[in-house]
Amino acid sequence: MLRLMLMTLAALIPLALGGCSASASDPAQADQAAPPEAGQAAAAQVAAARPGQLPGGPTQPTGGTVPPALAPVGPIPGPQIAGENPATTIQNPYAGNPSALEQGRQYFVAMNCAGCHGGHAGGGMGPDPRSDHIFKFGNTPAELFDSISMGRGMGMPAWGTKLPPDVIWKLALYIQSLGTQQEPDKAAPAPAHAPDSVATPSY
Amino acid sequence: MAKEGAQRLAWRAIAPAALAGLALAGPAAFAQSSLSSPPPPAAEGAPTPQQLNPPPAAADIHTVAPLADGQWTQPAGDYANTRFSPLDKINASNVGKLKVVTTMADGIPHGWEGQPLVVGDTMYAVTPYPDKLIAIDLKDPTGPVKWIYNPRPDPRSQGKACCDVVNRGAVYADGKIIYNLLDDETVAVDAKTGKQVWRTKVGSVSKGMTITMAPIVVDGKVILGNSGNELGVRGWIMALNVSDGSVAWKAYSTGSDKDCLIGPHFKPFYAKDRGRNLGLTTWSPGQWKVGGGAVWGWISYDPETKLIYYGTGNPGTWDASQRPGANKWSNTIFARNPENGHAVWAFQEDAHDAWDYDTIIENILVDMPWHGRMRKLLIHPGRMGFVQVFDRTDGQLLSAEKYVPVNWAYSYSLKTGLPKENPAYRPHLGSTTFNMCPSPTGGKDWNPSAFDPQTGMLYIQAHNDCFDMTPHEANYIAGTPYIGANVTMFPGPGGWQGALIGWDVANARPAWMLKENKLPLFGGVLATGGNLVFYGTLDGWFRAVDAHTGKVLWQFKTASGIIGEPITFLGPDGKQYVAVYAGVGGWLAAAALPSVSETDPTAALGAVGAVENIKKYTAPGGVLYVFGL
Repeated sequence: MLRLMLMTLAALIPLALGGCSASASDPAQADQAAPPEAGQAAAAQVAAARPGQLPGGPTQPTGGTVPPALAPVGPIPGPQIAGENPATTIQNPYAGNPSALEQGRQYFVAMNCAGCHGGHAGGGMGPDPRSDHIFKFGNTPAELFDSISMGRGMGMPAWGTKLPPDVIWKLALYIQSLGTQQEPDKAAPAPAHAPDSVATPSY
Repeated sequence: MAKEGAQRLAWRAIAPAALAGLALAGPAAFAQSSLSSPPPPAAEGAPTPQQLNPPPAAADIHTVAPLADGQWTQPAGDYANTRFSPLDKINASNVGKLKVVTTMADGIPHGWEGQPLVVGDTMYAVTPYPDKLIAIDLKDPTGPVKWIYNPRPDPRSQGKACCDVVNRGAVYADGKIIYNLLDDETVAVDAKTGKQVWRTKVGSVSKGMTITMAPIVVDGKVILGNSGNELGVRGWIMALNVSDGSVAWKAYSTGSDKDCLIGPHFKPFYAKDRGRNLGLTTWSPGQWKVGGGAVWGWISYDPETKLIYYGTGNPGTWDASQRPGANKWSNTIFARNPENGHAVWAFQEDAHDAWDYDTIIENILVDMPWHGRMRKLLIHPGRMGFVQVFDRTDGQLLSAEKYVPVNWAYSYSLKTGLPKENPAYRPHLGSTTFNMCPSPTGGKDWNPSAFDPQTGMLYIQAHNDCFDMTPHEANYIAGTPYIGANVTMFPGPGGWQGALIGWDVANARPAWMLKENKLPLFGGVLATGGNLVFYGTLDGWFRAVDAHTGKVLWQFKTASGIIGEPITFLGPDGKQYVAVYAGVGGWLAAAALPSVSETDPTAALGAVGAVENIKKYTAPGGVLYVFGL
């Protein structure tokens, strides 16, 4: 029941885009997030930090205050184009951090990503980020952050109102590790078949 | 429809030896008959059935409200869910000449479950999401489209459907075609004009709810249920008035007796199912609100007992440790009064389910001799791997025998109604349990079997898969998966993956099996008065087999794997036709979809390992086929 309550609270917290740029520029702050083994605690922390907000659409402001204007973030992230200078892109604040990568894997399972995208991100209800490296909405760290936090039209929920930014960055880190040597907790292959001795009848 | 319900028709089940004219080469016992004409040859390249036991002896078998007029106006054909049509113009002597009459692509790369309807001179097909209704003119042999009704459901529903964006079909009543949309709406469409008559919102995708099942109509009420056991929904069945779509009644699968419409008329046969407010007290506090029990399968109706019969789905989460208790009324067969929804009896298949063995499988209603006396039976070839036979008047379990390899339980006690479980194969939080059988997709899944009152046999499209499971704690976040387990499925023991089983109901054993070694089976079955059984395979073969022996008499390779259900009907020209959807997808065959990778055996909720090579054999893309002579 407690878990239900906490998660419901967490689901009600609209999280402005400003939250993620703050986190992007301040990894130290994000590092203070709850450990992944207590996923609900992470959500509870957000809930505690932003009390009193009312349910609403993910992008509806609930009060009269206008969020501060955001500084331009530079060129639209995207692939390197031959002959042009490398674009300035937002980096994942946890890039190269193995324990954050491990946590990203754990959040992937505990926060229900696996239910749609497969236990090891091979797809199912949702698309397959493992072998489908061409992401419809881009695969740079910032684009992955956006896809997770804002949701996408085919049914991907907007996780920005459900998970704190540091969790989303760690999820993005895990997604980018799929199929690489760094990927944590890789899938074991399925057995070829069950042993003939395990079950009856065997017609 | 309901007015026709009271009809009864008796069939004499005939042992093959008595069918001299139709007898076919096969087991020695059958070959002894003197043949007036040579037996039709087996289809070239088709598998050969394995004969296991003598077929059932002659018996007086009555079906409830059988199909009478060559139409197909409700999902299973008849109220009893036999999927048997007495039409016999296509039979063993001529089925070898069956050929395609017309085809139509749906243009949708997703699984095409369900079946078309035929009402008068029009065929009605419901597509997978976006759930279009297409009316096809049968007066013209090329089958031109009369009109298309496009309901434009909420696109977010696509991300909430656990097992592909499927739809299992429509029902006809009172001049309307009535069906459910993935985004939790029920619509009634004028069967002549294609204009929407009414549209009722019955649930919310933001809570993870969808609807995929085909409704039925009983006495002016549309009866339907929801989906979403993998997303923490609370299951229900409800009745809408056919006239205007208003709600007549709604019965939840979890919660108080009041919410479950359980009252003074509720008399379960077994003590395990008796008590007050079990939908509340068999859960940890509050967990029943997200506990599943969705009603996403088939509903049967008996106009004589005046009861509907249906099953509820699995409890959520798959990790059983998060929901201590029996978790009623998940995985339960219910008998209810369709007038007011009041429960009459219930039978929970497995308390505190740990394997995702939904009880939504069809319940087939047949009156036949059982151990010497005529009884009103309910036959349930369940996902948990047993064919169960109940007395449908009171819910007494009369028989439960395995039809595929099973190890989660040894047997069912007919005295207590409880399964005798093997504790070694019950998964627990904190460890991986290996080699449990059958897999969560069951000995068979939602894909419906057929019962032939002429042979006394049930034709089951079974699959043989086992699984490993590692439960983990899940967090409830509305509108997202609430599963709590990593699952890996793989082919079961014995070297076969799927089988059409000719099941002898009276003797509770298989007469024959027609096995598939490459892929499981995941579509429905049709039985006809022509002594034929039609079914399709995941690699796209559509077959007609001899109802007595399982011998394949005809087969045709369709464009995509078949997970649809064949139907048969008389066209306006008086000829018999057979129709089926090809179009691979759904849960077990999800690995055929481009969005699922074969490199992750836990993808698609673990189904990938069972069909690892499926992309070699088939690809999605729905096509309606109509066959004739």
